Formats: sequence, structure tokens, C-alpha cells
Amino acid sequence: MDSGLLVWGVSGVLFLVGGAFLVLRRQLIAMIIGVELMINAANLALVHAAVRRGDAEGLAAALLIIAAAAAEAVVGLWLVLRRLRDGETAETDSLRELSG
Amino acid sequence: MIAVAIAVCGGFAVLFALLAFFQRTLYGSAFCLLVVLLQVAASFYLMGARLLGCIQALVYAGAIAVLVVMAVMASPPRVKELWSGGIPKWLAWLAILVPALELAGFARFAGSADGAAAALPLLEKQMALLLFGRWALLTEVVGLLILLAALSVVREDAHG
Repeated sequence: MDSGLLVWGVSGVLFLVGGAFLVLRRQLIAMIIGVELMINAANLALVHAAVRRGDAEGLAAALLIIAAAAAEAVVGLWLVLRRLRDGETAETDSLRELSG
Repeated sequence: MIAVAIAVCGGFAVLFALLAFFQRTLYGSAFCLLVVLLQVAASFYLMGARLLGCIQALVYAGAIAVLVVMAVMASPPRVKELWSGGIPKWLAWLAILVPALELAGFARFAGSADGAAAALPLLEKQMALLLFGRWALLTEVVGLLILLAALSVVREDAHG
């Protein structure tokens, strides 16, 4: 069995599901979950390609992506919480400050 | 055999990602996300990137999933009522049974995943040399980014 095709397929489906979260769900936390899924899908393909080619740079990049994604999740979730504490809802429909 | 193990992990990752999407409550979605992240960590390990697998399990499954659940829990009651509502029992059992069956299966048929990973310590050593050598500045920048993210949250909380 070719693991390359398999991993790319899995990462593609995970990316699509993450995209569906981002586009179809209206809660901000669900959208953050979708972004995390998409980052993981990309990382899965990256690590597989790096291991297959014996490329240390790919693995190092994956490690840095994990760290940057963690920072992104912290800030994103904190922004949602802050909005909730201000008495706003955490639905995308309520975010209209920048719409003019 | 390792390809089959990766296929099993990938299949369960996709299954739980789909389950996460169709969960009504955010608790359910976060719980399914946790299983997906653990499956991805297992895939990293099976591919031979053991260090990345451990980091993925620690940072993502250990920290980010907990953060998401904490965010749902810390929501005001009026919002929490819409989001929470528990996790279906069958889903909780499935999430417990899947890793247990995987572990049992891997131990029975593959012996140990270390066999697959044995050829890669050199690659991980090269990665470490890269991160703390040629890419040291980038590593520092990412570390600083995490520090700034944490500080911005703490600072804002201190100001109320």
C-alpha cells in the first residue's frame, strides 16, 4: 500500500472538513476548531513529504508551524472570550464593526 | 504493516473530523478535535517523526484542546447554554475505544512503531541542528511570538 497517496488523501479530507467548519459554522470557536484542523492537515502532508525525502528542513518547519498555531489559537480563543465578557455574542453575524 | 497502521490512524482522523462537524454542541466538536489531533500525533510517530509526534500530542492535544474546552466553560451562562449540553455517550465510548484498540492492534501486529522510526534519529538530529543553527533567528521569532501572545492575554486581563 502506498502511504503517500493515503496521507495526502487524509490530509486533503481533513483540510476540506476544516474549510467546511470555517465557512458553514457560525460560532467563532467552531471556526477556530476549523482553522486548527486545516493547519493539522497541512502539517500532516508536510511531515510526510519531509520524512519521505529525508528533508530535515520540512520537519523543522512543521515544528515551527505547531508553535505558531498554538500562539494563534491562544489569541483567537482569548478574543472570543473577551467578546463574550463584553456582553456580545460569539456568532459571526454580530461582527459588523468593520462593515462600515 | 506501518502503512496499514497509518491508514487506520488516518481513517479514524477523518471519521472524527466528520463527527466534529456534525456535533451540535461545541463540547462535542472539541472532544472530536482532541481525537483527531491524537490520531495526527500517532501518524507523525508512525511515519518516523517521533519528536514531532510527542510535541503534537503535548501542544495540540494537551494544550489547545484544553484551551478550547476552557473557552466554552468560561463563557457567560446565557451563551454556555447554547454551546454545552454534554457529549453523546456513544461518542465518548468511541473516543476511548479507538485509541485502545489501535494500541492493542499495533502491539499485536506491528510489535512496536519504533521499528519504523529507527532509521530517523539522524533526521531529527539534523532538524535540531537546523533549528538552533541556521534557523536560530526564526526559532527565536516564533518563541517571541508565543511569549507576546501570552503576555497580551495576561496584560489585558490585568487591566480588566
